Amino acid sequence: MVEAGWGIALALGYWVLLFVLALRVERKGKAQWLRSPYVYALSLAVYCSAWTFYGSIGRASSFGLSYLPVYLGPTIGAMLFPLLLRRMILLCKHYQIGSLADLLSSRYGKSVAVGSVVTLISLIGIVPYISLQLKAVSESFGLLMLESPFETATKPVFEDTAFYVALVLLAFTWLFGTRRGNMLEGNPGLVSAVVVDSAIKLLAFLIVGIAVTFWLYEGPGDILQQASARLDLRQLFDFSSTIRRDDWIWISFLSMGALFVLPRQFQVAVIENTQVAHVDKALWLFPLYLLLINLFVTPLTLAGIDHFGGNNFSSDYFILELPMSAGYSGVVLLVFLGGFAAATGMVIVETTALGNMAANNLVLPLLLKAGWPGSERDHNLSRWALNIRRLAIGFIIIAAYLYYRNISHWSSLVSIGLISFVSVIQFLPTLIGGLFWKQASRKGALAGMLAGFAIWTYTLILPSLASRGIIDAQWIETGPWNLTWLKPDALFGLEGYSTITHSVIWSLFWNCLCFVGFSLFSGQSIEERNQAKLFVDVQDYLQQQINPNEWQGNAYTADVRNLLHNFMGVAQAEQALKGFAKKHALDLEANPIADPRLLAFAERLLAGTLGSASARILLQSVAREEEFGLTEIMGILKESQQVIALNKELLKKSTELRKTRDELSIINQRLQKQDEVRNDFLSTVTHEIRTPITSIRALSEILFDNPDLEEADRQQYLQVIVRDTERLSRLITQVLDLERYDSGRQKLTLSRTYWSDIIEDCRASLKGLQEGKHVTLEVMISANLPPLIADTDKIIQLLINLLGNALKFVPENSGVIKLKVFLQQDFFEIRVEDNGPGIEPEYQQLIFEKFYQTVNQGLKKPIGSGLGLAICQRIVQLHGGKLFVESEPGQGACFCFTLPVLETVIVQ
Amino acid sequence: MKFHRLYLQRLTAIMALAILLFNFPMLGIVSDKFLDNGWPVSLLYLFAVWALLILALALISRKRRADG
Repeated sequence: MVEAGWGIALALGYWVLLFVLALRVERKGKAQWLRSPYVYALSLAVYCSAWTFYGSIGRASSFGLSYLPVYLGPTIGAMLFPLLLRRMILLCKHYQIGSLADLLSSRYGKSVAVGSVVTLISLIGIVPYISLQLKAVSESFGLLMLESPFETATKPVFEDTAFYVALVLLAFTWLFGTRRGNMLEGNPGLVSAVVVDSAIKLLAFLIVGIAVTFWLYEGPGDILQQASARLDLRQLFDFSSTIRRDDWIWISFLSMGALFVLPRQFQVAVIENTQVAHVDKALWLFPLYLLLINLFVTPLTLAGIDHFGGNNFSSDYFILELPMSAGYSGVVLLVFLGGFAAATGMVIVETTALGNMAANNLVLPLLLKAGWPGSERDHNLSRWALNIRRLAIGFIIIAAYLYYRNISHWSSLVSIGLISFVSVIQFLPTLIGGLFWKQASRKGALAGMLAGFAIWTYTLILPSLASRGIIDAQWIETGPWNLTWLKPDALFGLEGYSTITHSVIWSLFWNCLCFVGFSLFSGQSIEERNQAKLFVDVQDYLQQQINPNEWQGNAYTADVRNLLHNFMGVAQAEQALKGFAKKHALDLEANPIADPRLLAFAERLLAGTLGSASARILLQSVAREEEFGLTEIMGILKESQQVIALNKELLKKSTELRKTRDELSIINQRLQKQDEVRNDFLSTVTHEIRTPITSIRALSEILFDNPDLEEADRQQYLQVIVRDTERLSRLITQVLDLERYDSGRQKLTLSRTYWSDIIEDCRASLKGLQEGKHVTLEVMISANLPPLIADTDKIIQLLINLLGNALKFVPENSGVIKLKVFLQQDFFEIRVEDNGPGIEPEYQQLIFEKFYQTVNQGLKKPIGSGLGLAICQRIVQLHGGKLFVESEPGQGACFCFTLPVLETVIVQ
Repeated sequence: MKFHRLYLQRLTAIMALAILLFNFPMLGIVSDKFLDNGWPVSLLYLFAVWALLILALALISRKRRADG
């Protein structure tokens, strides 16, 4: 009883100390020591609540290592600080975000729904956790008074320590957690108290550990030996059961996630952060704190087992019972104070955070949406907001106390703590997705969180209600409607896991599934898309120092000013406006319509205190925001459609241009080639003309100089001159002919003739030559050939040319030339076959070129201009036919050409 | 910026290591083993790894500030 009196005195003294300290810090304004990274790391240690302080040992007494995942998880989580926590801090500072609910609400399009869901889940999940702290304090106090926990729990309210503890904590939170309207300004008084709490609880744990290990026992080896005599240590330190293994992994993961989504962690790590760079030091200081506070858990557990046996006592309080039984009064009081400090720190921070969330994300938006405070705006809104926050904090602490009085004695410290963790871990997918994935949508966030929360309720809360007989326990054992796959502790047939692990697995599975599924398969509003961009690409916006969150729409400057006056008081509002006008070089009086930047500025001012969703609602009431209506969107779409059409047209034009350019270059090439051909032609023609002229001139000179030349010689010379002159004139005729064909001036004089007549003419022309060489000419004409409509003279010229060529090449005496004319579908085919030497394949194309024969002197050839075949080809082409050669060397050659069969009518 | 990225890479590596060392099958190795004087190897292992990881984190964070 002496200790109990001291306990009360110590607790009161401690509280007075905290109050004085917090007040001094708040009065002094800037407290430099609070801006150190060590203070930041200590404030993060609010993670270790009374649950840790007492519960770890309770947990360790059933499985020696099972308390560790709750600390190893956050140790791993701390390594994510520079990636995750840094980003969260930047976002909150930059966009004036005051709580986790506000962060998520803002990210998902300043959604009231998201903010409310986060707030409600937090409240339902965490109020029991706060009541757990009250329970720990009152039970530890009861132990000092040598009461049993049952006695403690059944005392009337006014004798109950927890009641007074709750009252003092409420007062403290009101005083130091709701001092400022703007949440982003932080609560240094609160932080100073938390830091002292963290220091005391660590110190207490270390001292009791050292005292028990080294005074009561002779070091840890001694404890080990003594304990092993009472208990088989093997079962405490092995992982052979799969439940232990799975729990190890899943609870590590659970705690790691909780580090980022627990409201109190968010409050100290993000909102109360004074410098972003502190996270880099906290990432090893915080794990160090966790390690130190756990250092003596196992020795204390073993000592407790040695002293009190397996499960006789409530093993949660070994840490208090051990020094009590050893008579270390000072240590007992210190431990009590440590547990008390742990509870104090946790409760004040958690209720501050939850109060903010409840006021700004649940109550205010609903009130504002319902039209409060009406058209008359002479209330001081920020004071209202603060009062609502205080009210919310009051409700939370009262609810926690009621929960403690009526329900919390059902379960041990540990299970309530983990159940709370599972409820808040439902924010993790939404948070991570929101920070790094632009597609994450409001619907996805809501669906995910609600699905996870439903599973949490079904798998963790319903069974605990059933175990108290509040709902039918039969239903839990057999599953609803006897469907065993719906059993809350073996959902979808998943068995062999602890209830916590089972719940974590299923709730996160459905949470992620719904979150990702809805995000991928349902759209985002424009507001959401905007916010997603601002959050995911926060680095870009920070660097550019721009606020792209401009308002679409208009408001009167006077309205905005009025709103700010109501919200923060005239003087402060005017000061803020002045600063803003100066920064942007704006004259606020000049324009009655508010600048979009002014609206954004006002929204940020409001958001710091009221939360982003409420700020939005308030501003919308004066600013008639032009939501992107259907017409605007259609306009934008139309515009972009026109641009696309224009682009397509441009593309088409440029394709056309390219095509034209290509065509032109082809034409150009052809022209160049023609030019070349013409040059070649000219030089060949000149050459061809010069040869006979030279010979004519030489012979004529001889004749002229030698009048007494012999008659026989003279005759011979004259003959050569005549022949060369003929050749010359023939050449000139042919060149002219060719030129006529090539220039297109050659016209055909069509007439109707019969093949027999044409061939007769040719035969007559060639008769002399043929007989002189003793060559056989065989003519084969198909019967019933239609008459030929063509330029008869040209066709005769063509045939004579081909036959003449053949005659030149066939051997003397044994030469045979076959002329065949027959009908092929709708054209005549004429073949002139000979048994001459034939033509090498590589020359078969070339022989149709002008002067080919003459150019290739190597070819054996009789006299000819080399223009014959070129002219033949043009005649055939002009008639619409084709001329070609088929030949194999040594097998003779066959020149063929085709002519179309024309209707008689055309001629008339 | 370059150092910053290197810092993140180092942290990621340490984190991967931590996840491996605090997990199965590594824990299976030390499970149910005791030293001659009765100390459970699993407990010693966990605290030793924990301390070393914190040391590594402290060094990485210090190096980052030294680097720039």
